[in-house]
Amino acid sequence: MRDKPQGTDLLTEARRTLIEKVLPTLSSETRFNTLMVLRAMDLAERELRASATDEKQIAEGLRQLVAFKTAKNNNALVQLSEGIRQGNFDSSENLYQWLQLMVTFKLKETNPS
Amino acid sequence: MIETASQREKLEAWLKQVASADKVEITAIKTLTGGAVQENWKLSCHIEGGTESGEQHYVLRCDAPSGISVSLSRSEEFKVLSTVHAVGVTVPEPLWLCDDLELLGRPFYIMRLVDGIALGPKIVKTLSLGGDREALGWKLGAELAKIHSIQPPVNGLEFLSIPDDHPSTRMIQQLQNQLDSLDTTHPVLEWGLRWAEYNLPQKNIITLVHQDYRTGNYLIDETGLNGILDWEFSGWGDPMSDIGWFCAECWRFSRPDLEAGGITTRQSFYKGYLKTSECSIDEQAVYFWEVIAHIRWAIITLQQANRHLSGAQLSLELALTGRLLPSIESQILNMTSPATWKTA
Repeated sequence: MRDKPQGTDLLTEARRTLIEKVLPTLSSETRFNTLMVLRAMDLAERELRASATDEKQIAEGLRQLVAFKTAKNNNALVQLSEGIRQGNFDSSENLYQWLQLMVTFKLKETNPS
Repeated sequence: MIETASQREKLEAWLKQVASADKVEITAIKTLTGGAVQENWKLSCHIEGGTESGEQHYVLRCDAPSGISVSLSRSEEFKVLSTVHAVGVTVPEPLWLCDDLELLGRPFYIMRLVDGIALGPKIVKTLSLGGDREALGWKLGAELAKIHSIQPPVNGLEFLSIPDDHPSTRMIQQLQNQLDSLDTTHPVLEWGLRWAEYNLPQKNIITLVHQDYRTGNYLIDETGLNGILDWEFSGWGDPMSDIGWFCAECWRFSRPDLEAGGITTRQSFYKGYLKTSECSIDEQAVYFWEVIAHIRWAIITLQQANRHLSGAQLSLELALTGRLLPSIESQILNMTSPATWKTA
């Protein structure tokens, strides 16, 4: 068992320190690099906090889409992509909704606003 | 790249020769930001003799340590730049090309330094830059029309292949090949490409196309446009593809409402284009190319991330570029809902 604070909480505090205490002291060149570091930490933190429920829902949706068409390939995502290119999902509303679900999930981590 | 005294001396000797000068002294070398695919260095020189005599400022442009496979060589880019400069497109004046690897280890060319800001997000935000924004949009349209006035064949540009089929089908094939060369799978991009196969535009004339004509790739100051940059992806293609790339939402930065590159309205940009161009604007084709623009940009972000992931060029900036993907994918989905598929 790990001790507290957890890694995600440490990341939050590290970001706060960088923003409040380090960033105001920096030149424009080092500021750019520090902003990138902050962005990376922010993203990693949100990734660590991501909802397992959302991920399960996406995986289940993928399983249904691929099983519905064919079960040739073990990798469902590869199989789905091949199926799209081959025309098995042309203008499919089901696929479109699943793609939106997946992108919305990823956007929560990369573009939460 | 110009790290040793020996390299600097070699460069000075070469500049002396190409500038027909009596003496060249490089007084300062500074790396310039903004080139993710190429490296740009500012050279300040004291020159005695010849037509360049005096204090001069140049840009030395060379390949980055790891490039993107579809870009032109520096020699080819130099020839394209020379061609568009000759027809009056606002670009930095191309001066000298060096293919000799003995000199700096990589091919490079020299162009005259043009002042200004190119950073897309800053340009979009800082309204004091670029002069009147409507006039800037008009000017950018007119400049693009000048580029599109160049049609094949052109002496010196034989290395650019003329498409046998429609540039749109060639582009779809290219993007599929690029996707296949990645070791990850991207169903949204496959969806977008399949949509594109259903929505091919009408065949158009073939012209020179910049293929990276967007906010972020031109220099402006308080008065207006100073130079169009980054010609490494140029080739023969459908002129509507450049319009689609320029107007694509992914290149509007913090101003998605300003459809012409986050600068102004689409109408201002189109007016400048139509005033100068012999081409009309095919709105459906532009829409097609805007979808393609997002797919192309998505694949570039994946390639950029791979440069980091492969260890070829470790960089946090490249690594973070890979995580731009979801917002681009979202834009692709917004443009390609099932209702927009033409003949499915």
